[in-house]
Amino acid sequence: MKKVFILFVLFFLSTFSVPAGNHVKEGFQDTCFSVAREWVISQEGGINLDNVGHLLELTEYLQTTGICD
Amino acid sequence: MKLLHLKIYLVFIFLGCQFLYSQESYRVVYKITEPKMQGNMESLGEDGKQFFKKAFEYAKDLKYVLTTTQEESFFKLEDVLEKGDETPLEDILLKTAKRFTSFKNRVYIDINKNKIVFEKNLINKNFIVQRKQYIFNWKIKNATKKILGYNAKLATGEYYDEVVNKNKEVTAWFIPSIPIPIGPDIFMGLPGLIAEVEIEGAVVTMIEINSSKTLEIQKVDTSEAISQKDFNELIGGLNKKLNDIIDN
Repeated sequence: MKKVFILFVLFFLSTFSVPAGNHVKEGFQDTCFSVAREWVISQEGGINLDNVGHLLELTEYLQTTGICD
Repeated sequence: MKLLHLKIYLVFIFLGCQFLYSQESYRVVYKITEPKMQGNMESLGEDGKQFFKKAFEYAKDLKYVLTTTQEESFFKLEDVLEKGDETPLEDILLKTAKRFTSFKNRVYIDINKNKIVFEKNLINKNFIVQRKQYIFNWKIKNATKKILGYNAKLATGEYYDEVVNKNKEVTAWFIPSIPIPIGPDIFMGLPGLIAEVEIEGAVVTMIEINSSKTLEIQKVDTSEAISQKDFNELIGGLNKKLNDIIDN
């Protein structure tokens, strides 16, 4: 069960590749992701395993606000 | 002969006091007294600055509760929040506020058995981990200050955070007159209760302390706990994948 979950997480991580401003993950609009990433980096100094979940939550929230596309 | 009786009497009183003291348990409340931005806030737009202004207010409302005896302790975020019903904004502000400390969800420590059990959220999934206590290599300094009327001494330490794969520094103020080697979250190992810690994202300070003889120390259920080795393998794999993504 744990291995299945790990595989799921790895798949999940592998589905969003990359750098700033580029398309990140289907369903996530890149500008909101970029804004969220900038906010997380401002708060925590970088993106890491501990805050990547929060980055995704923040992206989802920003998508509902209209402050980014 | 009378003097001998007096000495024996005093020894029994002393031992009795020691026994009573060792049974003492404490409920300690901590709060974030100084949330800290680790990056550059100037680069944020007005929306971002307003968001973090609110997140700071939320962070300062968070309270953490430690219950501890000489043998064991339990630490978690206080259940009651006074922000009313959670809207999506309140929900994300609360989550952002918690990121200042990045504390574990719940921490149980068995002091004498060198055991720590905690619940940690990674990528929105909670893991329960049972492992040896963290090592901080504390260095006790000469500086002192008062916290809630107690004399607190300064100590600095360093520990390895396996989740982000790096060594982190921590500054702690501990109370020698309360000889319980415990503090908030995973922080422990000083000759006195830790009243304040300064970590990368926040200063967390004791705001209330009550002693009792009847406090129950909660535990973290270990039936689904993974070992330190399994946890390290899990986060090692995830960190490698994340670094590959960031590097590319």
